Amino acid sequence: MLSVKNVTKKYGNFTALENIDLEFGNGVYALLAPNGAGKTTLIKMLATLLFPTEGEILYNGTDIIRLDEKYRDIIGFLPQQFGYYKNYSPRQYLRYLAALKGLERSAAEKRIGELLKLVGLEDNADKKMKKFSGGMLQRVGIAQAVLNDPKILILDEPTAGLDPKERVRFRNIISSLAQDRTVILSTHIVSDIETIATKVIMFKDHRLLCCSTVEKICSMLNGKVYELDNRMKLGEKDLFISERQDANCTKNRFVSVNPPEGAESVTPNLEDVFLYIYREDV
Amino acid sequence: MRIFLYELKKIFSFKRVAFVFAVGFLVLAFSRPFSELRFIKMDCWQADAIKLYGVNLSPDERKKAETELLNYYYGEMDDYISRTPELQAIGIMNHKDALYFEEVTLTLSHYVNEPEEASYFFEQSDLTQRYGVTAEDIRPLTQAEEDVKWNYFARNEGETATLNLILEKIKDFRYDMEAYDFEEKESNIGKGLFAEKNDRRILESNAVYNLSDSSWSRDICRVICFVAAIALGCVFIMVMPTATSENLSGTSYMQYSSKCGKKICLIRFAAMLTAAIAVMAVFTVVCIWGIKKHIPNEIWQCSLNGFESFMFNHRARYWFDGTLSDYAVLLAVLAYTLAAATVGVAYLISHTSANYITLILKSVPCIAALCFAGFALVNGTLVYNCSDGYELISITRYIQIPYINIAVIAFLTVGSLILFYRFYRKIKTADVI
Repeated sequence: MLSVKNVTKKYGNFTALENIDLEFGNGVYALLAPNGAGKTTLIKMLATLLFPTEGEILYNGTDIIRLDEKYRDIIGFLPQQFGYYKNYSPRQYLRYLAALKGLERSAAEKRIGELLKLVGLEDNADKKMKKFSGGMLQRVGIAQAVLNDPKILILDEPTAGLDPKERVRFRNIISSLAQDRTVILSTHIVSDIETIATKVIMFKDHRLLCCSTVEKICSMLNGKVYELDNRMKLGEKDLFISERQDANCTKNRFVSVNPPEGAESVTPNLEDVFLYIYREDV
Repeated sequence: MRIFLYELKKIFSFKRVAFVFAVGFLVLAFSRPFSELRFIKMDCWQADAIKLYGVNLSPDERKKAETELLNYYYGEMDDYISRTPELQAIGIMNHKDALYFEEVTLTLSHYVNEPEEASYFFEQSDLTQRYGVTAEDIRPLTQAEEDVKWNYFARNEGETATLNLILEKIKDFRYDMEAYDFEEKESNIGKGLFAEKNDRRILESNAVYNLSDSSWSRDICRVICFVAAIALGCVFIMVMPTATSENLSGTSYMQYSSKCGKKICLIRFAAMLTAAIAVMAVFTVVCIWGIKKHIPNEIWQCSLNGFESFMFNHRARYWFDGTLSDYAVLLAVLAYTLAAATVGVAYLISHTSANYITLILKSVPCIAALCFAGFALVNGTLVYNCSDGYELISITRYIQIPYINIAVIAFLTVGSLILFYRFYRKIKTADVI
């Protein structure tokens, strides 16, 4: 069990995160917040790249800083900017990272073969990565993150640069991996996690806003989300969220306590909540 | 071990190796000391002497024999001075005075075409205070004066004790001792006249084989030091992009969050050190090959200091009183030690450079400093003037503190390694932004 206890992170006078308390079990934990909210800071602290200014992060009751390599041995990490050697092939690079992760040579070879197949790169396994597209590189990144079969998989904006097909493939991979491990991923793309997240973690003003299931988070707007033909005028207190093209007309989606006449109540989704919460930020 | 090999492989990328050695060997090929090696031929009498008589005495025995000979000649010289009132008139009372006077004034004569340097040297010297010598006395001869040299001496003899007169007096002693005639020795050596005529005592003791004046030691050591300087520059160029290339490829997040963690920095440093030793080893082989090609093996057994440094008026001596091979090993140890310091500095610069332009800007002064340290510290300061109480003037290359270069190199190396260790400790507890 991974726990974040009263963690605060400051960069000089700037507070990136304040008093964060979280607990992670098996499943997908999605950090959902706009850019600059502190997702990457938390992710980096979980990957031991940053040290909390206050508080601690515990794995099974022991500080991860003290656990040192024992902790890093059970994590897999994909950073936001996946770094690689241009002249290495995916296979060479994964071999190098397998050595860094302390995998035995023969076990590593077997695992690398499996992973290259899993991420659909077996045909490009021995080509230099300098010729790869962003999506292909991201797939190498995902493969390296799970190379050591980690108990905790930490992914920082893993779907950046992926096309829709690759996004779906990625979601499926994450979903299957999360069955017996903790997957923590940060994103600001709601659709990436809406269907696979066990819990969604949201930050507001560098503090923890919520950590709950998608349903519970969406329920905060139950009965408050409406759609209305965009030719109709919204009330002054109504909060416009988005526009949707219907078969016959364009519809405005909005949050309201007293909706105007003709407005149709709809089931709130995670995007509604995201746009509602971060209406000043997005 | 696997990570170490990976790091080593990254350092020894084909392009980097090709560039470093191409630059290194190009500089070496066109460098004066190395290209002149072929001119350091065994064509003078010492070479023949070595071939004829070999090097039989142990360093201790040779030192003892040479001390005996030296004392013998000092005694003879003191006796000669006591019988020469011209020398006593200007304060040359014993062999030390005479040798000192001779050395300083001969140094002056090196500046025959550089009047400003000669003037400065003279001002720095104590010739006036000690011997009442004026600038005019020590003025090098002009060409016109050279043409009428003997008349010049004849005119002045008996009138005033000029420098040239005094020098001639000292030279007279040399001639008296039948030990100063280079050419005669050289021409006679093949016939074995050398042994019969001039230096039987020396040859009997096998004490002749020292290198202080032959210039081989200086030339060979200059070659070693020059190669060391180039090798250190190459080491620096070879290892310095290591951490910067990691910064540029952005791989540190994956490395630091892996099981290996920030230990990768130590492993990388070890790989850089190994690469440095490999580069040094290549240049060592080239250096040995270059010297061996032109110089016979016997020379390595010759001593650096000895009786001849007195005989041939080259009293600046190496504080390291051993054979040339010992000295070469010492130079190599110093150069390899400096290579460790180089790696320490290269790592710091490399790690803190975000791109190659910053790296190059930071590196230029470091390369210059290392080459200077490699050449000047290793070579220049190993020599010092041993004439006790008679100090040479500071503008000469001789430094009076034995072991100073070892101390400086040790300081640089230990300092650089401590700096690296402190830096590593800082990295360990620092955020990876």
